[in-house]
Amino acid sequence: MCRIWRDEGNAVLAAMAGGAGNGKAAETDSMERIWFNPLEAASVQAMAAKAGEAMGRIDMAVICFDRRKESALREGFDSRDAMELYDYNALGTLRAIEALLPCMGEGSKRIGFLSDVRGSLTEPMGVRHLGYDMSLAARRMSIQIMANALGGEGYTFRAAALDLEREEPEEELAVAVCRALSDMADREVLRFVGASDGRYRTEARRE
Amino acid sequence: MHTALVTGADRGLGFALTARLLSDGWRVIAGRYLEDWPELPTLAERYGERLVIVPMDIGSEESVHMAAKLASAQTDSVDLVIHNAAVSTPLKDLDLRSGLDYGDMKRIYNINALGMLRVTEAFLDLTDAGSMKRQCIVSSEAGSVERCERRAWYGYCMSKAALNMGAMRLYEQLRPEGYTFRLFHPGWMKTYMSGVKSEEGELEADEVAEAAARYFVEPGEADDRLVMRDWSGKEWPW
Repeated sequence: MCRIWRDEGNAVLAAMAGGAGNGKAAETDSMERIWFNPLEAASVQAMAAKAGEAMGRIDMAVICFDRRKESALREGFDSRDAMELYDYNALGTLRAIEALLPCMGEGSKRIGFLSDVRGSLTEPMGVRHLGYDMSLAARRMSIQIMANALGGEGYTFRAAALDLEREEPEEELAVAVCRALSDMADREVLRFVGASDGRYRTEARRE
Repeated sequence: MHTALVTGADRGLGFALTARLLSDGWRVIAGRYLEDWPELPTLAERYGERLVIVPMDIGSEESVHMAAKLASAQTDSVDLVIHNAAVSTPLKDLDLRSGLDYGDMKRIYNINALGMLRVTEAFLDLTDAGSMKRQCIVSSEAGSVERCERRAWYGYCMSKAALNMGAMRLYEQLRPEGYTFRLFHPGWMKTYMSGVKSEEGELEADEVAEAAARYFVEPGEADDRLVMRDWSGKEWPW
């Protein structure tokens, strides 16, 4: 996604939450890069300060860090693991947005999220990721509250839910998600974009 | 005689539900958080051995396991669990502009979202042996993403949305084993959730407990579909 947006002529700051990810980090070589830890407020604030310094203003911030771990009832459910997933996935998202907001007031005010369909409260998804699924539901709620709070200031929110267990992060998917997240002509305050949405179709990919 | 476990039974809705079940002939294991709060001991004088008071902080693994151990010494089975204990916060109006208190948000999540799972897991041996296998979860409209119009209350709303997700996954896992679930929004109640009783609210705990006890105990369509209902019977969306 960083590469796609850069190739479209945008300035992109790649903020890496952790290691080398899928091994394609080299693709961000020609971009501004910074590493940060979503669990630590000081690290998130340093990332935002660097972003402000490097970019001047930010039109769109996209949050796509996500930590997943299996945990299930009857198998020694560990509430410390569940708390860490909440801290990383849900509170880390809020820390990042809170820190980036001061750089976004003069831009296009778009905030995007890449998440997992497991955060949907309407679908049975299996029971092996109890703590993870709860952290995603919490994040989903936080996105709704952010939209309520900041929509009046002109901010718009797009949350794309991927089927991370079945989908490979391939080019076609990245292009579709980029389009869904960065369509600035669409001024609806909040859209949750998923497989049932016409903007991209994970179901079709599965076939 | 049926046996129920009620968490946060010291006062408010938890106490009212405990009193209601006892008057209906149940034996109740009452999870007590506040050592000095006088209402449960008063109830014990009236109902004797049918009320078993166990210290229980649902935010603590150790405390919940100790409570389960104490309960096991008194009974071989639990038919119905009422997950009632929860907290609020005086910091709920903080927002992204003023700065959020992440420590407080973790405290709320640990109790409101993870507490229910701690209790469920620690009491599984007892509930597996119960005849009803019913898990009743006191949630809130604040956990409904679809209806959320708040511009703050991040920690509380997020904890309740996560609680609803936890209930959904437990339903997926335990329904095939014979468990049934009740998810309940008590309405705008005069609660002690912030530490002292709030006089703001439309409903007294006793009124809500009457509706809740009926919903929790009786069979219904909720046996085969996880749904959140409020004290008036209205369904709330996720």
